[in-house]
Amino acid sequence: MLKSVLLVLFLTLSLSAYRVGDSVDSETIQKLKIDNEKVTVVDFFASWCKSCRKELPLVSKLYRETKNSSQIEILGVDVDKSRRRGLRFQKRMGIEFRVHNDESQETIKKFKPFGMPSLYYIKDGKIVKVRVGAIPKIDKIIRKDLKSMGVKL
Amino acid sequence: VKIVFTLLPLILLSGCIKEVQPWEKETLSSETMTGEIREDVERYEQHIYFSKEASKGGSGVGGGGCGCN
Repeated sequence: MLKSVLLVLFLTLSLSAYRVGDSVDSETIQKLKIDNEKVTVVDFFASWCKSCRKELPLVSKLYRETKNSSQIEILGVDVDKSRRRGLRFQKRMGIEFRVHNDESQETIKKFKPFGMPSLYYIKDGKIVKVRVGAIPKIDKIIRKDLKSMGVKL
Repeated sequence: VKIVFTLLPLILLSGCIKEVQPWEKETLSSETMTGEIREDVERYEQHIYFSKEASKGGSGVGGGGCGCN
């Protein structure tokens, strides 16, 4: 009895988050201004996340190298509850790519990643790959992922 | 009856449990939450300890105590 109750609870919790293969709801697509013609790399980060501080300069470097590409877009989602703190952090990190300030945390609550930072690859409105946590040389990893998705950089 | 007695506490207690999500860890990531003593404070505390105990190397470093530091 207890096992089945726990199973139902687990399934309810796990089903409510976005996983690979899921379609992103149209409200989020509109809110994040995702272009379905491109592969969008959505990077969830926050000023208090130490791993994000290590990862962001590499993501920024990749952005500078690929900003003219018509096939991809790098989009940041800052989940800081204070917009001012978030903007200050973005400025300090020298982020040049487009950032959605999710101070209400409504967007990240839909994705529900199990760690920070987290990267979601969205293609044709669907999540095609997820990378969670601090990953060394993330710029190279993203390049490799995009290549496997048929993106020419 | 058994089912009710099993489910009722579970339902009632589930309201007390709220898992902290990764994006909600701002306060937890604060330096003051680490439980570690700040380096400058620790140095000061060690100085007091060495002086009061008349010993040097009280925290792992070998050496005799002259009580003069």
